[in-house]
Amino acid sequence: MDIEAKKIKSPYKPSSDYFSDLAIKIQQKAGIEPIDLGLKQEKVVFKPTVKEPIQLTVEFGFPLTTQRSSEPDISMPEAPLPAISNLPTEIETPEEKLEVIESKSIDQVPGNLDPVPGTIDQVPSTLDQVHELEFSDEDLDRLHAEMTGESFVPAQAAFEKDSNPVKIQQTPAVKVEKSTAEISDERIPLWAMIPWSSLLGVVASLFAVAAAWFIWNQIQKPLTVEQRVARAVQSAPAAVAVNASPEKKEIDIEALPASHQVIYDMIQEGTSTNENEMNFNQMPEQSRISSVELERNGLTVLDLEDQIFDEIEL
Amino acid sequence: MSIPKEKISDQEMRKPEVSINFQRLDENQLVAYFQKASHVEDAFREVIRRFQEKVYFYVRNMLVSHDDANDVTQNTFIKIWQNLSTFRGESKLSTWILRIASNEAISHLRKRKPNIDFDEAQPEFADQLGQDDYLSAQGVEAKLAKAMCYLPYKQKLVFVLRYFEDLSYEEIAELTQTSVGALKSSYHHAVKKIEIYLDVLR
Repeated sequence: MDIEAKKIKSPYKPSSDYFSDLAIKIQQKAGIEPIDLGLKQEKVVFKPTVKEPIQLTVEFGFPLTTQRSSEPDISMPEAPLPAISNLPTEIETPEEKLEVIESKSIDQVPGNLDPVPGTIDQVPSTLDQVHELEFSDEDLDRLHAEMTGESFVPAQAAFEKDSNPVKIQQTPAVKVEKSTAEISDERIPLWAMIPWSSLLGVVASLFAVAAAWFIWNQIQKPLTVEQRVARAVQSAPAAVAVNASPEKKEIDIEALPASHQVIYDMIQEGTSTNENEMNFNQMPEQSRISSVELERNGLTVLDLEDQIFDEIEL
Repeated sequence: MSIPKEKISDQEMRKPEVSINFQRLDENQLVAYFQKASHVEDAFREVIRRFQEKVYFYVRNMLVSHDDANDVTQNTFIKIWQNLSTFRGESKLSTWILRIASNEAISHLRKRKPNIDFDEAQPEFADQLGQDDYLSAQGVEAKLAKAMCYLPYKQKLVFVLRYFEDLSYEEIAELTQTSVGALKSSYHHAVKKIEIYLDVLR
């Protein structure tokens, strides 16, 4: 729980009058006149108040209120249906109403038509007179030119017809011969003619091809064991040449420790503790051939290992 | 850190007494009235009004017991009243007041038990938590208060000043006469311990 992320408040809550009483006690202990410092903790209580609905408009005699009950008012008695005989036979058409309205003359309209004083300020007419606060057209144009940075042309000047509005010396046309080098420089280079969007498209397509090749290789069939072995053999580095016959190293006997010297002698002499072991090198040729035949048929094992090593118990 | 004091000129002091709204004075102006005999009582009342709750909750967080906090708060303000004229404004007024409160809390504990070991006495405060009627035993606030009781006293002091009173490390260093680095380490350890305790109590 991270207490620094969400700060935990102090759990202690003394009574509401405690601090005001404490302040008075402190002042009494200090020997000064105790004055209420207004330290009472006011309890804020929210009391829900029921507000009466506000009457917004009155339409057809029914007040529209902000609160409308969803349930129908069942207590209201049903209004009595008028009898058919009581219904009016003549129904006024809208045209007749219009006629009635048009017949009224304006003079007969009652009511006080005097304007309410002080409500509408009469705007002074500015058709002919220029108010002191108003800008003339020329001033407005000048202001606009200043704001936009355009050159200010008085309105009158625009209407003046000048035979030669642009007064410049007309010089004869001079042919300018451009060199071919300049012409070639003007040509757009080929690489610039290629729109950049197409370059991006080319790059994107190359990337897509590469991705497709990668994915295709990944979803290929798994290789069989034989194929894997063949691949491994092909890619395997050249086997290290194993020296079948260890080279006989000339060892300085005197450099060996005493225990090793004894073993070295035994190895050199070729003696073994096992009397039954056949010394293949010392056999006659016929015996050698026979022992090899026996080994081929699994009837014997030519043990050529040294007997100085103990058997490893598996 | 010295706070420049606004000096009240002699002319202002000789002016006829006008009701001064001490609540609108800033700390430097309030401290200036400590030196004025005619307004020292009003200045002291303003100090009570501003710092009473702060001192109470600080001492309560340290001592847990309401009665102990009540006594220590009153003693603190009596000490303030006695030494008001000697306050030079070299530190903040709140730092000075909290330092007095810290010393008064230690003195109060030593009066109860002369050879008290502050660190060993902390778990005893946890028993007093259940005696408070205005404390909810289930809320995380109560668990935090209980966790604080298992902190060493000085670690709890640093934690309360930093976590509840929002003092800066420099202000706490001034109050406790300890280096800022040691305070940061102490606060960090305190927070870790409390978080572990709150997780265990879930």
